[in-house]
Amino acid sequence: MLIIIHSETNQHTIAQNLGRSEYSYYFVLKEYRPVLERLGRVVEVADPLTEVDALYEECRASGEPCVFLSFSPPHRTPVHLMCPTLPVFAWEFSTIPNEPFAGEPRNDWRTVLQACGAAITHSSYTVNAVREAMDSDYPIVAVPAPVWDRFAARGAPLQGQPPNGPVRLKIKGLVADSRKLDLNAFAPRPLRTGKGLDFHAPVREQELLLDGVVYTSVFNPGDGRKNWEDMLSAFCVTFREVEDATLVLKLTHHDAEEALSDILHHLYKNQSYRCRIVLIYGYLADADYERLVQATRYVVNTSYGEGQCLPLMEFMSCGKPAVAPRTTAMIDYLSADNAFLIDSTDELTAWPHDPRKAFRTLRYVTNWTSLCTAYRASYVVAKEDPQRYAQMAAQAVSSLQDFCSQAVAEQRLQVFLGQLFGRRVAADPEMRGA
Amino acid sequence: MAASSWDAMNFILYSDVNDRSISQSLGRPEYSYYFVLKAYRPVLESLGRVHVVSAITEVDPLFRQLREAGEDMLFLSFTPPQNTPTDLECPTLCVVAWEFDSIPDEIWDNDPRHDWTQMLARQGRVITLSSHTARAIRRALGEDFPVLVLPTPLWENFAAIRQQQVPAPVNPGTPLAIKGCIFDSRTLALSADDLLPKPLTAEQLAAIEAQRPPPLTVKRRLVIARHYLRQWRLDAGREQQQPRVKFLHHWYWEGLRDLFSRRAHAWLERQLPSIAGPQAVAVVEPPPLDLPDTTSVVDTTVDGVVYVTVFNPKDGRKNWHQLITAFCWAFRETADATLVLKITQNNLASYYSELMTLLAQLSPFACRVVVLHGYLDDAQYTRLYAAASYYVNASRCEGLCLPLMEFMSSGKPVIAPDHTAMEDYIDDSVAFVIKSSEEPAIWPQDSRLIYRTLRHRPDWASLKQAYEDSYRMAKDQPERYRQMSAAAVERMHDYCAFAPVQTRMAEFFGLAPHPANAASVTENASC
Repeated sequence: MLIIIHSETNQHTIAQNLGRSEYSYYFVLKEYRPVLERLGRVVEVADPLTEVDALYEECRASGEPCVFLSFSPPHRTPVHLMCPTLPVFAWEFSTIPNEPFAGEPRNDWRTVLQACGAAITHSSYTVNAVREAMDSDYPIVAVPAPVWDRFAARGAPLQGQPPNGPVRLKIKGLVADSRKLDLNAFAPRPLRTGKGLDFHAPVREQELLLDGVVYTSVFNPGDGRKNWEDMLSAFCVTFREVEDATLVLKLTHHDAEEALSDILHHLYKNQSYRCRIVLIYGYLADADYERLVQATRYVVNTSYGEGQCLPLMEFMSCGKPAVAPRTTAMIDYLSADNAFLIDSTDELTAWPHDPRKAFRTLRYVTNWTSLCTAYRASYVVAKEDPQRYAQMAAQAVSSLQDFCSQAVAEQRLQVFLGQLFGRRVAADPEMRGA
Repeated sequence: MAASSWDAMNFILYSDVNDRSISQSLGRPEYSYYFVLKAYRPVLESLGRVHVVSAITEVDPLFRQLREAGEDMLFLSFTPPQNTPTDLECPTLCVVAWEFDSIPDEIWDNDPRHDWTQMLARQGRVITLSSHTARAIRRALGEDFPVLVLPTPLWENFAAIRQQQVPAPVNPGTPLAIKGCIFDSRTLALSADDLLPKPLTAEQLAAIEAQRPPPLTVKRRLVIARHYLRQWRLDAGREQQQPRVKFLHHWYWEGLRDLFSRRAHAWLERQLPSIAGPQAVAVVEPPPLDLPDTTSVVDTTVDGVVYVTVFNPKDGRKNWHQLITAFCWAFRETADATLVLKITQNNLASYYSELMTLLAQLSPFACRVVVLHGYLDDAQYTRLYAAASYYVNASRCEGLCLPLMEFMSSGKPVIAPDHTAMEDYIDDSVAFVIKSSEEPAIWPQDSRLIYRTLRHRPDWASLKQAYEDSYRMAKDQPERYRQMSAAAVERMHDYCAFAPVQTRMAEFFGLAPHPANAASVTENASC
C-alpha cells in the first residue's frame, strides 16, 4: 500500500511557522509517520495538487492500493483528487462547521467529509461531533499522535520518582524568572520603572536551576485557547506564600516579544507572591527537554479545549500526573487516578476559522476556584504523599499507553484502512478487477 | 450610644450626583450612590432632620451653626471613602457600596485616602448595603468594627403594582412604550454573513484606482520637486504657522523616498528627522453610525415568556454578553421566549455596534430580543414590571442591584447568582440560581492594575439551564410559578420594607423612630 502524506507546514517552514495556527499538523504528521511506515510505503509530498494523482496513477497501474492522508483541517483538504483522500485533523469544539461561509463551500465541513467518504481525527469527542453532523456510522477513527513509546522510554529511568535536588537545564534563548526580574518594568506605562527584557539581544546559552515542586506547561501563547491567564493567576493566589512551588511555562512562538509581553504584564499583575514563575522562550535540545520533564512534578493544562494536546500527552507518558480539565480530547486519557481534575463549564463561541465569529459551538471555560483547589491538592500530594504520587505517575504512563502508543495507533489504522479499502474495492468494479 | 430625641439629631447627606446632574450621570459609577441616598432619605427623616447639601464645603458651616443651637449632627457621605474629606469638623460616616471580597487596605498614587481601612477607622463606623461588604470590612478592620448592613427600602413603592396584577408566567401581550428607540431582533434583518466586509464592486475598485498617484516618471519627479521647493522658498505655510521644513518633508516622501534603500532611508531618518521622519498617519474617522431618532415615544408589544433585565452596557460587572448568548442559544428554536433589555446608558453610540454585532453573531434564532433605549416614565416603567415573567441578572458582582430588588418586589421570580450582595436575598425559593466560580479582580480605582481581590465568574451552562428550567416552569407549572412569585414578594418584604430597615438604622444610631413619611424612589435605577 502507498500512503501519501502532506501537511502545509513542513520541515523547511516549521521554524517561521512556530506558534502559527495549523503548525501543529506537522508534528502530528511526524508522529504518525513511523506507524504508517509499518502499514505501507510512505511518501511525503510538498505539493499535493501536482504530485498526489501522479502517484495514484502509478499505483493503479500496478494494482497497489493508495491513499492520501492530508494532515489538514477539512476546509484545507483537497476534494477533487482522483486519489482517495482522508483529512487527518484535530478539533476541540462541540460541533463541526455545518454551514458554508466566506464564499468557501469547504467551510461546511460536511461537504468535504462527504466527498472524502472517511476521515481520521484524534479523539472520541471529535468522532462524536462528526457523527452528530454526518451519520452515526460515518467512517471516522480516533487515532491520537502516537507519542507514548518515545516518552515512556525517556520516563522509565525515573520510575515515578521525583528528582533528588535541583535539576540544571541549559537553554538557548530567553529565560524570564520572576525571582530575578524587576516586575515593575511590566507595570502599566505611566507606572513603569526599572529594566525590562531585551527581546532583541543576541541569543545566548544560559543555565536554569529548577528545584522544589515544579509545575510545567508547554504552549503557544498566541493560541487563544490556552487560557494561561487563569493558569498563572490561580498559581500565584494558591502559592502566594509558598516558596518551593515553581511554574515553568515553555513557550513556542515565532516572535519573542509577542509571546512574552502579555505574560510578563501578568507576572506584574499577580503580585506579590513567594512562588516562582519561569518563562522559557527558545529551543531546548532533546537532552534538556528531557531534563525539564525530569524536573517537572506536574504537567498543567487549563485550555478551553484540546484536539489532543501533544505536550500533555508527552509529559504524562513520562509519568508526570497532570493538573487539567477533563474536557474534549482529554476525556480519553485523563481521570482522577492520573490527574487533579479542574471543573469547567460550557460557553458559546465561534469556530476558530470563521471570520464572521458567528456563535455556533461550545468551548469549555475553567472554573478558577477549582483550579486553585487542584493546585493545592497536588502540592500536598507531592510534599506529603509520595506513595500516592507514585501511583498517579504509574497510572499516567499506563493510561497514555492505552491512548497513544504506536501499537494502538497501528492497530486502529490497520483496521480502519483495511475496512476502507474493503469498501472501496467492493464499490469500484475497476479496482475489483485489478 | 445613648438614645437621643429625634428632633435633636441632624443628618447631612451628600452625593456627587444630585437631582440636577442625575440625567447626565446615568450609568456612571457614582450614580447608584444617588439612588441609595434617595432611598435612605425617608428612613433618616423618620429618625431626625435631614439636610441634603450640594457641596461638601457646606457641611462644616452647617455643623457649626447647628452645634451652636445645641443639636447633634452627623454627615453621611454617599461617596466612595477615598473621595470623602478627612478634615471635616463634623462627625462623618461613609455609606459604602462595594462588590468585591476585600476592601482597599494599601496606599497607591501617594494618596493615603486609597487605604479604606484608615479612612473607615478614623470615622469609627460605617454603613454598607450588603453582608458581603460587611464581611470584607470586618476582615480588614476587626470583627467588632461597627458596620450597619442596610439595604435600600423600596418594598412599599411596589404596593400598587402588586395589587394591580395577578402573577401570570406567560404574558398574553403587554404594550411597552419609551421615549427613545426600540431595537427588535425580529425586524433588524440580522445575519451573521453581514459581519464580513462586502466585496468591492467594479466601480469602487475603479474609484480607488483613480485615486492612486500617477507613476513617478522623471518628469513627475521634477514637477513635485518644483512645487515643493517653490513653496519652501516662499515659506507658504507662514500664515498657518506651518514650519518651512514641512515642504521638504513632503518632497522627500512624494518624490524621493523610493530612490533610497531601506538602510539609506534609516540613516536619513536619524540625520534629518524633520525631513525623512515618518509621515503623519491620517486619522481615518469611521463613518458615522446611522442611529435612529431618540426624541419621540415609540412602542412595541411583548408576549410569551418574557425575561427582563436593566443594565448599562458600559458597566463591566454586568456580563451582558453571556446574559444574551445563553438566552439566544437556549431558545434558538423557541419563538415565544422574549428578552427585553432596558438600557441605562444615554449614549446610544457607545454600545450600539457592540450590541448589534453580538446579535448578528447569534443569528439566526427564533426567540426575540427587544432593546429599549431611552427614558421610561413611571407609567411606562410600571408596564415593564407588569410585562416580565422573570428578571435576569448574570453579573460578576453587585453592591446591591436595585432593579433586581424592584422586580422581585413586584412579584417576579428571577434568574440570578447568589454571590456578593445577592447572597442576602437570592436562593432557590425565589430564583433559578446561577452557579459561579471566583476569579481574580482589580479594585476599580486601583491605577496599578494589580489583582488584589476576587469577583465571580457566572457559569454559562448553568445560566442557560436556568433559562430552560424557568421557561418550562412558566409553561407547564403555573402554580409553582405563583408560589415563587409570592416567595419573592415575601423575601423582599423581610429584606427591604421600610420598617425593618428603619429599626436597624435606629438601633445603629441609638435613636427612636417617629411616624414615617415614606417617599417614592421608583426611577430609572440601575444596580
